Amino acid sequence: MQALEATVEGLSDRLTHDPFLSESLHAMLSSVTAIQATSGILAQTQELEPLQQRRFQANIYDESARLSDLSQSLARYFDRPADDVQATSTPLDEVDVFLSANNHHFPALEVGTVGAVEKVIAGGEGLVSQAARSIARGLLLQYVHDAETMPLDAFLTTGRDVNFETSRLAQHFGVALPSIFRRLAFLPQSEVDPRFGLIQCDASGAVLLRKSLHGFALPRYGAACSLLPLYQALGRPHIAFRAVLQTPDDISVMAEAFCIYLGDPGSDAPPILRATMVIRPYQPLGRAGGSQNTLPVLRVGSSCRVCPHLACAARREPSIHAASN
Amino acid sequence: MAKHVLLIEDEPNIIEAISFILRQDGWKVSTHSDGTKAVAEIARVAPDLVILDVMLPGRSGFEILQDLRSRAETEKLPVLMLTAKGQTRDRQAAQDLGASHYMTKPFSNQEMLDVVRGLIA
Repeated sequence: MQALEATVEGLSDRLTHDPFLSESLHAMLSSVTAIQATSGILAQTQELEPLQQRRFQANIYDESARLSDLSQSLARYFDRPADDVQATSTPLDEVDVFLSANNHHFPALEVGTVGAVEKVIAGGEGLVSQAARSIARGLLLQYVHDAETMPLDAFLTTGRDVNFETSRLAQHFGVALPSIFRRLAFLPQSEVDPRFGLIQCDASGAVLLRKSLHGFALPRYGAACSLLPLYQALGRPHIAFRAVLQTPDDISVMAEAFCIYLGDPGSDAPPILRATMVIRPYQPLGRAGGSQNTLPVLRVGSSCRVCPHLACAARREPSIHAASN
Repeated sequence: MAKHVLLIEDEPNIIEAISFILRQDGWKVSTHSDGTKAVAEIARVAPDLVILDVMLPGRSGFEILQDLRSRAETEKLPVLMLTAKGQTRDRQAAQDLGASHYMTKPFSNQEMLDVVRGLIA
């Protein structure tokens, strides 16, 4: 245990800057503490009621399972090749792999019940840790609710009729924009043109859900381009943000973002925010494009460090491109 | 009459183990897990000692400790801080904010008992 503590001390700087490592080691030390205290009770208490004894044994079993999950997750994290984007390290990465393996669509849940969610999770490729299964469960329960509210056939028909315009879909189905964004991102790819990408984050910018769109890099761990409408939406909840995003590689997507409060925004507790952004390939529509052609065009990058827009007002740190100029 | 220890911690198995150890040693123990309501809970139960975890949902143990030290009624309340981080700056922060003692997870049961006994002897 002293060695474990020494490791934590030695990695303090990395801990400060690596939320995954910090949280994992914190959770490991908590589990070790619970196991040490509980096993100490079992070993040192002379007379322990059988019921209490079984309970403590079960607690040790639970904590050891948690440690096992954590250690596997850490091992994957350290073993990950730097250029292996498919490798998983965090529970959210596992969920990412799971969703990608299913092309972000779950036919069994389109007319499914809550029970169907457990079957999907049980056979879920990539869902290794308990934490990942828990996150996936929450997402899939939301999926079931969305599918009930916006049945697939009706959504596809209406969507094609209105060119998948989100505000009209929201009006048609009587739901908030983030529900439409999710439904668009989870449609069967073979049925939909265009394809949609999605990203969701909390008030800290931590990514909670992402579906990439080919050619447009979405942030994986935060520290992304602060010009993204996703982050603008955090500053003004319940207002829709739309823009055309143009990457340094001349990839253009149309982005729409919307942020909602979770819970009661009027209470004394800090507001809990969820911002969601949906993206789709952008193709100027000429004069017939209407309002789409009046959208602001934002030159964005994946992160400041590798972004060539040297004069960007939102820049946090110098770009590696600056050194070469 | 048994002295009252309030354990503010969010890990259920740690809560169960520490509560058991302290009760076996003769202390009255109550528990609380929500950082945002911790100060109100301390005011409600008026414990003789608070064992306070640093990493709590809603509000950190450091913020709670700072709040306690700014109030006349809890200014001198013994507070034992617990953390899993094991970092020097956390220990220093606890001392600066007025923690009565500081323990780094993991710790032995005997160590916990010795510290609690020392703080409210």
